[in-house]
Amino acid sequence: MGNEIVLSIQNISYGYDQILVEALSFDLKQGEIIWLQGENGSGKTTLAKCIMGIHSLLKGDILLHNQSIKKLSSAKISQSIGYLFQQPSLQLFANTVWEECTYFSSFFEHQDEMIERAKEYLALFELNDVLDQHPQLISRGQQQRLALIISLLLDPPFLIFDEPTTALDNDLKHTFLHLISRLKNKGILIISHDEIIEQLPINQKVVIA
Amino acid sequence: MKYELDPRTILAMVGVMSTVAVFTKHITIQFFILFLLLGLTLLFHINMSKFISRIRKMFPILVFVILMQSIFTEGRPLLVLFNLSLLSIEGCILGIKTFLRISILIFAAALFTLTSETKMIQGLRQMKMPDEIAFMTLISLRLLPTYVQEFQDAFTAVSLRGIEIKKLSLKRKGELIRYLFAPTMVRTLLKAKRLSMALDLKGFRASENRSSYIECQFTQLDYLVLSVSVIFGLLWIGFEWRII
Repeated sequence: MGNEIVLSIQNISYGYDQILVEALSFDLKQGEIIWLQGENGSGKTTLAKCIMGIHSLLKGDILLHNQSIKKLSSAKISQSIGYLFQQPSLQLFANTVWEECTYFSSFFEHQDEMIERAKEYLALFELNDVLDQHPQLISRGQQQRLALIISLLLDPPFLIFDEPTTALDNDLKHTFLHLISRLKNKGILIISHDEIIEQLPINQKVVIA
Repeated sequence: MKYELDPRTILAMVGVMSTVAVFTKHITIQFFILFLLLGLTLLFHINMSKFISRIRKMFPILVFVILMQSIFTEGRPLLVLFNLSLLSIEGCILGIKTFLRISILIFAAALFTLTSETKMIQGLRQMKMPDEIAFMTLISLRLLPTYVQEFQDAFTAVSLRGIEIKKLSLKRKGELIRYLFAPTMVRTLLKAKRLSMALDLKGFRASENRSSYIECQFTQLDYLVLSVSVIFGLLWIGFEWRII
């Protein structure tokens, strides 16, 4: 189980009007952490969008559990990959923190399981004090943790964190790293230019030039 | 050769065509305006792919209007099922008229791509419109596209929570849209607020008079288009109220 390849990036090229990244390949196994680095505008977030099926590849393929993502919808991919946006507030819609964690679970058959998981993570990520507050009015660090909970609700084996430490102060950055280290058995792709990521047990570094 | 029009000419032309398209009772006039607009988009080399895809999306509305008009208004039946007129000549005409109206409005809106926002503001200012109103007009014109964009982003974010929106029942889809309606509107308004704050921070209304490096000037083509628009508008009024 520990060596299972969750995600395989196979010789992909992508971009917008022109090619941003050419012939990129790497594999991610369960329990591994990959740190994706690169300059601003080098295509790190676009790679995440390609993996999530919201941006098309120009060449190559991405395999999720040995299946091409080209055949999967974004929703289907999201059931295996949790995605934390660069701006967590864009993922939040509900009127309260509690509703944010529970409303969307009503769209799934295993709703009760998801609510139990939400309770567990809300306690773990210390958000129980703000359950009745509006998600847009809590602090950036709390929004980050709330968005992280949302990406974990479906218990995906794989996670993508896009610049998770941006706009966090040093204390919050360390708290965040501590939380990530507690997510055992997940394959994690961290997109970041922040050197603090080095403090995590990184298995592989991928640099996009 | 690429032709250019003054923003005031575009405003007047779009105003006349949209007004006639909305208020006319005659389908022939609507067809005439639509062909005229098609000709203009070709003359001015406007990329219509985006606008045509919007019109294509309206086909279900056309079918819906035709069915509703056929069922609920009296007319000569074309298709009758269990004593219910599913399709009538009058229903089809009303449906096509509605479709033409919306198509004309979309094509007319495409003419705005012939000018930039900066030129449009300058055009409005030269029409003696107060600066505040000119800028507010532009911000309000951007509100709807921004809202649509926000809604699309919200739908993407929801599908990234693993929810297959396309597979939801109509009732669940309706619930989701209702749920997202207010938060996306709030986000759009917040964007408009940030835009107005940015305007203030750039010194908007810092002094009484504003200078501009752009000056809109009418060319012979503008005078020609304006004259044709005015004559067309007057002819329509005469024709519609049987003055002529």
